[in-house]
Amino acid sequence: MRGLWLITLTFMTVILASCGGGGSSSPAPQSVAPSSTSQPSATSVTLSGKITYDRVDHNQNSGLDYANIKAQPARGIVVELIDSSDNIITSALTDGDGLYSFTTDPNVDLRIRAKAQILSEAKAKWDFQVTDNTQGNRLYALQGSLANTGSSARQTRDLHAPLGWTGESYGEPRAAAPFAIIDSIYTAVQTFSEIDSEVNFPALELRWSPENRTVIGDKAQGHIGTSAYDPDEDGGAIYLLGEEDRDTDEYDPHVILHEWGHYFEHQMSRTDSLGGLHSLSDRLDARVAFSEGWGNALSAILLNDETYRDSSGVSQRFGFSFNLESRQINNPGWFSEASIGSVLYDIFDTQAEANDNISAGLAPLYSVLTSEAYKDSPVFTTIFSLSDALRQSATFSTTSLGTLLNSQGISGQGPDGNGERNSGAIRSSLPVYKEAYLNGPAIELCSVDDAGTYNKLGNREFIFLSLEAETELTLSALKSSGDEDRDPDFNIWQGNNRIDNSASSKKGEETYQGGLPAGDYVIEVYDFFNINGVGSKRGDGCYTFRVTG
Amino acid sequence: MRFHKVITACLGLTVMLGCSFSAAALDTSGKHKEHAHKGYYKPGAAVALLHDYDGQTGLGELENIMLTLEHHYSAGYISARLLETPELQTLAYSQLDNEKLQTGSKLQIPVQISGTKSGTYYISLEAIYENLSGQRSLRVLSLPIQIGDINTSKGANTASQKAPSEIEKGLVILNAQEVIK
Repeated sequence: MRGLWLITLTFMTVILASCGGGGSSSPAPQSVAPSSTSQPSATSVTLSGKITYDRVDHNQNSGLDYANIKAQPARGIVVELIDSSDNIITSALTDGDGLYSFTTDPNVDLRIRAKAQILSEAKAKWDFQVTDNTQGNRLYALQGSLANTGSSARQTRDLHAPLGWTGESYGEPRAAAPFAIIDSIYTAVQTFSEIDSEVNFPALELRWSPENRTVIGDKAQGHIGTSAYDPDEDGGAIYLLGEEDRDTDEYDPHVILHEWGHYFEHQMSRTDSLGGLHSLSDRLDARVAFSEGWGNALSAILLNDETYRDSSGVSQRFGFSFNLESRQINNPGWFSEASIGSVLYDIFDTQAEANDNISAGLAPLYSVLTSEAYKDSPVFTTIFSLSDALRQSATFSTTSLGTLLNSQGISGQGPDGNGERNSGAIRSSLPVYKEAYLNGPAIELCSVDDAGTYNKLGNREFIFLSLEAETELTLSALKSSGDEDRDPDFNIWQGNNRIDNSASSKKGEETYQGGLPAGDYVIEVYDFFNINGVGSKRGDGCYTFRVTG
Repeated sequence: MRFHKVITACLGLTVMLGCSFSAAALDTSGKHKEHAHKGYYKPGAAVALLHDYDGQTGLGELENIMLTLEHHYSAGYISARLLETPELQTLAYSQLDNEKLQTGSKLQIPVQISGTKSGTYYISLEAIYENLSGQRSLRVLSLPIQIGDINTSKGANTASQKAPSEIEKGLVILNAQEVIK
């Protein structure tokens, strides 16, 4: 009887000590007395439990619906057993239901710590962590109280990461946010590991903070600009917005997985995208359109939810959405992320529609995107290079694929979009690649700003050049039309390696002289003022381009 | 060092996303040169925020700022409104309501603000673009405002942080709600 009283007291003490609603102070170590020294003691204790976090769904306006908060299992995360000196005794992973289990000693003071990290060192490998860029990129961890394991054979410790919402605002720490973010990534890796049981994802940090706001600047101060994948940051990192009443993204899984799609392209496949501003209505550079369309489609595929949602605003009540199945697309074509997202989603989905009788799932896309042939292609990654690789893989009807592409105004064949008829109302955008020959005829090309600047259709032209032997050559562009500010420049690409650049400030002309080994090249020609982002001297210019040597 | 100058100049002119050449370098001719692989931004309205703010506002000073929304749309409509910042008094501003867009047009939003407590605060603009099919997209853009002396206001905006409770062993510790049984 006395033993039962002690157990009850112990239980009440721990509950009271640890369920403070996530107050702002550190959880004070709570040492709990053994249940009874006179009771026969187990030789070991199975310490198990469930890790959960709060997730909030969207309302009809694509805002967050705080009346609809659900506790969700924290799947696949790292859980550690910590002693009173803060040493890690052992660690484990939660299963798909958020459950963990340890076998440990009786009558010792231990705590459970759950990290916002999913890790697999099995055949399929991954290591994704949610860290705080405003606190030295430290990993978020959910911590329970220091409590005694007791003398019974079993003890259960359930940890929950609360949302922190207090009715009008986030009045308490937002403990659930890192776990919501990492759980979205768990969805992704589970899906891909079912396709490829030996998939090996390079490690990635997803950096989130309540201080992450829509200002470009010092990321350590939370000035991240917007949610984005930054390929140049520590080999690649995703930054996510967290500023309350402005824009938060931890409960916008489409946004998280869109950015993860960029990581996938960069680390697992190949991307030639320039990044930058983009929207569904834009006529984009073909590389950007493909990359963004892939991100949109992948998020919908992984979540099995064709409606992309992004919440923002006061109390996160508002937002915007778009549907990957929508056929109302402004400016459809190979330069439209909306068109490409729609095509990729239609390849995946099982819903038969007009012009869509492909139900191939994600596997063919994964197979092609990670193939060496795709990654080593001499032309850029666009909807053309992907659809050509899909045709080569012959995993589904090429006729059906052609029908699907045609329904979005995409008719080009081969990896270079040969024969494409849709110019997006920018005449110089066709053909997608022009072909130059050593000492061959001059080519007329243009850089125009009709669709905007930097990463828009028409800003840059692609010239394919094949050299049979190492050659000392001259590339020249001489203005044939345009105002006095026109300033042509070149990038020289081999695959997705930019091997050289020619960017003098000479008005109206550009000349590159150098030696290039035998091989296939793409010369990217653009007007400096159409790609530099400020656009004060943007405008249309056309040039006569020659390759001599 | 030259790289730093470019970034600083860029930030001074362009607040949000218009600074799309953040990986720029300066060549010998003084041109900004873009590199491949910029940040891959989330989808949203393709708008950038420019401004003429000089970066410093005295306590109680009436600060007039001209915000300019730059966009790349050839058609459609844009709406923009300021989101309230409790620490800043917004004395006047012009809201954009379904402004019709043309290629290359820039939309100006004059704002007058004042603050009585030193610190770095942010004015934020919510921009909503609607294309001719009625498809909407949105982006929030913010501008830091420095009120008072930067040295005495250090950490002012961290006072409102709902920061995790503890940092130890490279971790940001978050309190769990725990049930032991």
